[in-house]
Amino acid sequence: MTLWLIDRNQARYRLTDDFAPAFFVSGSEEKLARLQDAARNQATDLRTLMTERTDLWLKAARPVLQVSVHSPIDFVSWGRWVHRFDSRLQLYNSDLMVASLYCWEKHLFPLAYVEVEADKEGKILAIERRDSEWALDYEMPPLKIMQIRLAGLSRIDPEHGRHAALEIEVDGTCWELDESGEPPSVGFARLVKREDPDVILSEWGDSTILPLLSQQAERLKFSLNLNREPGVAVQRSKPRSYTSYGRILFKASATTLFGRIHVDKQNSFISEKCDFAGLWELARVTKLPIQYAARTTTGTGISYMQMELAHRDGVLIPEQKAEPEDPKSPDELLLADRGGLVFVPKLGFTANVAELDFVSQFPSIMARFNISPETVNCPCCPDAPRIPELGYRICQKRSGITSRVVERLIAKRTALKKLQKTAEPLVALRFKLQRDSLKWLLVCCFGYTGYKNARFGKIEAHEAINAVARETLLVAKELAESRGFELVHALVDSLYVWREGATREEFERLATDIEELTNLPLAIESVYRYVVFLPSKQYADVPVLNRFFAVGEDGEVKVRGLECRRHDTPPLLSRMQHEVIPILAEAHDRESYLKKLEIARMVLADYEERLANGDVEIKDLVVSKRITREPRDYQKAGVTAIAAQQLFGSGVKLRPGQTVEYVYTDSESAVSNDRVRAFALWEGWHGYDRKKYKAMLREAFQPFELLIEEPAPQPMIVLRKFQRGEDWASTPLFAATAHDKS
Amino acid sequence: MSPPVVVGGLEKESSLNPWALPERGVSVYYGCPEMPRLSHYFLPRLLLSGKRILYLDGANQISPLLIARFARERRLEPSEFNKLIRVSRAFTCFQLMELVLRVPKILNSWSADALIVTALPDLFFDEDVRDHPARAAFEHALEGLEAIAQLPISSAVFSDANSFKTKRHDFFPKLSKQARHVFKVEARPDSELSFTSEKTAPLLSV
Repeated sequence: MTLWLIDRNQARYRLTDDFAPAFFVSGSEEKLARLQDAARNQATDLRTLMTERTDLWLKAARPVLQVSVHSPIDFVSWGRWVHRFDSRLQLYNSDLMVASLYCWEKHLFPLAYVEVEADKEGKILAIERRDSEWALDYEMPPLKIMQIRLAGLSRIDPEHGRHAALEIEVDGTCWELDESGEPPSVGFARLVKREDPDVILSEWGDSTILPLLSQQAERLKFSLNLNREPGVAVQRSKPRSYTSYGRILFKASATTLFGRIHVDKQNSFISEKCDFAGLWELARVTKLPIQYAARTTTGTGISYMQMELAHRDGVLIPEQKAEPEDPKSPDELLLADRGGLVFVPKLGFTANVAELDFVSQFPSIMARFNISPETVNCPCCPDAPRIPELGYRICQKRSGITSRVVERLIAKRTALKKLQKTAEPLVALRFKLQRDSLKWLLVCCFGYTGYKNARFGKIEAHEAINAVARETLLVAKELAESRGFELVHALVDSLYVWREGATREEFERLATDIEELTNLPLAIESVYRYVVFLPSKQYADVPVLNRFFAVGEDGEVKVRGLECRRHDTPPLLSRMQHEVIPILAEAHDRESYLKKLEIARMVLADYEERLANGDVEIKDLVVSKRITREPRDYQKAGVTAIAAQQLFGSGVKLRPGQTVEYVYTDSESAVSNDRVRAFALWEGWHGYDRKKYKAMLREAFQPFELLIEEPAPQPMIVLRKFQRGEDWASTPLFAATAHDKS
Repeated sequence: MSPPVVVGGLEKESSLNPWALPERGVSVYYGCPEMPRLSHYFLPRLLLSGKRILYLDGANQISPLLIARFARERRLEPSEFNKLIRVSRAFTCFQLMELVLRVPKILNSWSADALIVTALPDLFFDEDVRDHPARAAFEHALEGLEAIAQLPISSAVFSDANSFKTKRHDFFPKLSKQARHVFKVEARPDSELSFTSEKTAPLLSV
């Protein structure tokens, strides 16, 4: 294994360490003996040992053959060798990332502060961690960061034909390289060598900048050495399109380095959302290699955290998810196979509404009630408390792997929140980004229990969590109603409640009571001066989820489902809405809202005038849409298809799931190709379609004018008398946890 | 109501009633789209005669609501049908393989007269699964089916295999080769379904 370390003086050390990762094989005694013989006859250094490990689902020890591979680079290929040797043998721990396995074995993690003893050749004699991945405020290595990007609009994929100079920045000093002088690859190579950055932070570096620089260097017959590690080639992975939850998505190629970190902001969800602080936090807690952590899903992070715990417990980690659903009758399936509970919003303007949110509700349920794939319907606890509605049992004898993972994450997030409140602004921002990255881990840990490829997933765990969440929301609703509040909307883990003249203290008392009754943390997200729940765009009387705007007591605005929240909206529309909303936010009741609306209409008129006068920058009119098929496969001349085909015609290779950007030029033209122009191919003479953009502006303004008339009288709410200890709160599961709490 | 049908092909017994599963051995139904959904139409006849069904759903297509509708159309409570069915879903080929291998064990605790399997081999075409493990899992599933064929139950596999573009095009022929009966189901322009028996094997081969 090769390790790169940096000391506090920014000196870098390349060290090596012996490491022989091991996988496990299960099968009949005879087959394992044959495998052991075959392993002994291999030229490579394989060590085998008969041992025992725990099978998570059987909850019992299982005899296995441990195969240690003394050349870590060949670890995965030896697993495949076993598969070819006998496909009936079951492999465990065989396809894990060697870097993570090394961290698990040596009790290390990426970016950890360590103490090392090494010999003259740089071989590690001893390495000790002086840091914890659960530390809140930790010292980061003094990383030298080089930023590279193309000049101009960063959101436009340069592969679509955007040509611009290469901008490079290190410690506030900037360079611009273009084709007018020496070739950019030559200048870039010189800068990399001279500055020797630890991190290259790029925009479009994965798919465009680094590959293009390398290709140019090849043409010029010199070696562009992006790695620090000598004699190793830069690693490139291929781009691919894939389907997830019914959507076609695109994963760009990756360009990763050795001895140096490359992060592409355009190809890294976590660094885009949470910046470096979030990425570092994620790499530390998941123990994934940083470049991999930057590009993978947070679900993989959660998986690796689970697998680490399993590894430490001596539990075998299967290669694939093979544990199927337990047989059920159709009516049991109908009952179990449901998601979160929703009460559709009351359309229109409602003043004085509080939003009560269960904090990290699904992870909290998993942690609080020990719901984990292996704890649901375990054979060891036939008399365990039952999950409401479904009757599933939860293990009382051991803590589940998933529950333990989320418990730690929730605890760290809560502690960071406390620190954030009292920290200096810059430090507080860092804590916030750390918390955000943990949030993304927590968000997907629930979904992963039902995800088809989650190794420790089990659909019953997913169903159990949903069932508890539904009951929790019902209890909260009934308690609120018993106190005279009206539920204006509820969505899985949040409730919007209203009562004439209710004070913040009364909302807080309600939140405390719900928290006490459900055993789950609940917080007041905000008390809104008013909320406007909007209808479906197609049907004016049909309420839809997540289409509303709300103004908090402090004037802060919460917007969901409007154009300014969407990625495909032209910036012009987003900007108009962002200007209008603060004006409306000044209103405190229906009457003042109507007055503010008049001022807001003047903003709209101003935008329309600028549009009509041609006083709008073209980049503000760009629409971005994801293509769902190859450009040639489109049958109808929709505007996205037209733009995709224009790009394809100009030599751009597009794959399903990629985004194309275009400008409406003449949306009603009989000639389909004239309706829009791909932004990368747009030239001044194409102009833009003023009528179309005006209509789009109007449509984006329309939600503010909807549903502001006086509401019809409210129907009488029939309250069900709710008493503490009634219903599910007294079922053994919750009674037991309430008892635990006391 | 079952969809209208036309029958043809080699098999005499199937021509009598296309919605009756052959009593012994493994039968394969393929051809038209939505074969897993079509499997539901084989259920009422079995359920009305009190037969118990184990349904291994690789397609995630089982519809409890449709089963309830079948019951109500026959003036029965849905629970009358539901108590005779056990469903287990598989979302990966490895889960489906595991389910098929576990059938004898499941039958020990809940005896069934008929077994229905959907999305075999369709689930094994998953491009996220490398070819070698997919093949190995499929072979194991076939071995499991072979063992099931010896059991005194009626077994049917419903497959959409023909609608996939896959490099693993040898999977379905292997399944068909192993099956005792193969029925091709096609949608005709007049909204009728045609059932063609493409293969039938004697109980004892000489």
